Amino acid sequence: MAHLPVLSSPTGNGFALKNFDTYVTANEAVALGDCVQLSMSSDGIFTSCYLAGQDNAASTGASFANTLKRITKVGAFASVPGNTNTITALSGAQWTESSKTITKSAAFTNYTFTSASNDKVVITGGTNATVGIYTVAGKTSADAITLTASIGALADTQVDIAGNLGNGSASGLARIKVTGGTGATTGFYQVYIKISDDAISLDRTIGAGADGQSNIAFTLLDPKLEHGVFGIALEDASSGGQVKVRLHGVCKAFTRNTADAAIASMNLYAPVADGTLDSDAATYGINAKFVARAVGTALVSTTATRALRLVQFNGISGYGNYAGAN
Amino acid sequence: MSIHAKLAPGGLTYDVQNYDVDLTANAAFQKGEVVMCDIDSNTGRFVSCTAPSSASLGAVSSAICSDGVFGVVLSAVASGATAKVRIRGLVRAVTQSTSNTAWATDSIFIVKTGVTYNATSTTVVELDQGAGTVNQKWVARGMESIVSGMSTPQLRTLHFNGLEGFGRYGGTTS
Repeated sequence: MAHLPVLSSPTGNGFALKNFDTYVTANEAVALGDCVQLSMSSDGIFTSCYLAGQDNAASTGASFANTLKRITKVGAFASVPGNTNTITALSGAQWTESSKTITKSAAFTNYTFTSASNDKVVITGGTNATVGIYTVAGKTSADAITLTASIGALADTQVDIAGNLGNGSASGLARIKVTGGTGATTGFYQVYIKISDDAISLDRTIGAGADGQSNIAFTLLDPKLEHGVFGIALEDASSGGQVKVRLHGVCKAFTRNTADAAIASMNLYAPVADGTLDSDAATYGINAKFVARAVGTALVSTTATRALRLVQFNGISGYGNYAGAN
Repeated sequence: MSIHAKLAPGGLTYDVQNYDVDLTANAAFQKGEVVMCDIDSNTGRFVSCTAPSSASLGAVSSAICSDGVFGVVLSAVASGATAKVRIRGLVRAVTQSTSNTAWATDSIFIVKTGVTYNATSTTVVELDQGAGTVNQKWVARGMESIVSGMSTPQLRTLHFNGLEGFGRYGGTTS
């Protein structure tokens, strides 16, 4: 296997990865420090790039329901990971206001509570219930879960509560990028719950003004990046423009640790779907391609914030794929 | 541009190209020991070498994976002196199989710390990849068939790549 060179210092002591840069066409706007994925033309030459993880086909003509933060389009979400053990279609459940409990016999048998930051329930109907997304406080039993907030005091004792239950550890890695639509704020959104192959609920609204619109455009993002040739954009570029990309060497790149754990020198990064290098294994997941190492003194706080940090980057050969925990 | 592999004169095969560097030794090392290259926190350059830490081997801890860039010391060096270190290529390195398992050409190896060699605690190239080693970085391939004395650390010939490695150990199949 051929490798790009490493570079000895002029004094003969020490070495570094030699910088290897190229120019490609940006298929979408990218910013300095973004991790990009390179596209190969039919003659085997890398000619263009896009933000890492965004090679899936774009969709248009989806509808949006603001209250449920739900995007709907027939068949558009078949590839979004969903876990039937943790996503339960609820109907005919009972609401108890005093304990903020949803009860239905055996409805939660296969559900495992992970954390309040991950686990959400979408209330879609029920007498006097306020539809929307609520946070799960915990699982009481196979028959009951508790929420952190009321779905409506007047819904107390009603037995026709309906909704969907989701667990971020199962579907939370999926992201979409909203690219257009009346009243929609473009940007990256996380999928909280896959309702079906036709519908998902997001972590937040794409805009109240988009409610009821049916021209929402979005791109499903690859939640895990296990292959591909990656680079770091060395400059801002608009869609269709030329961008200088570092494939190999030392540079600053957008990094974070989604779990807000400390990042130390030599920690390995893998790209995730918003063009960021992440050091959190729970985020990049099994088989993700390691493409960079952290360089620098320990970063002990606010590492969940996406920021430019020094890395030693190798987007071609990489540093192996993540094989999982011991 | 130099590359790690080069075509043989006939053009039908290729040779592994050695890549050696000079690094300041932060401790005394024996010939064939595995060392970890220390990175300069400001420049990203590797300027010295030290004994590998357990955290550098590649196993994940608290959802964070780290590994080191390794090399093999080509001749004994005193602490503070300049060590000649092979980062990639064919090399004689201290190698063992803790379980005394025979190996053949193309067997794959990880790094193991805390092994006694010549009465000194050192870091070697290790065949065994069992419990606790999932995700560790493969750094070498065997270049010879070894059928006896595997549990005794000795200098043996390997195809080494301590920078990119040869992938990671993914565990056993069930």
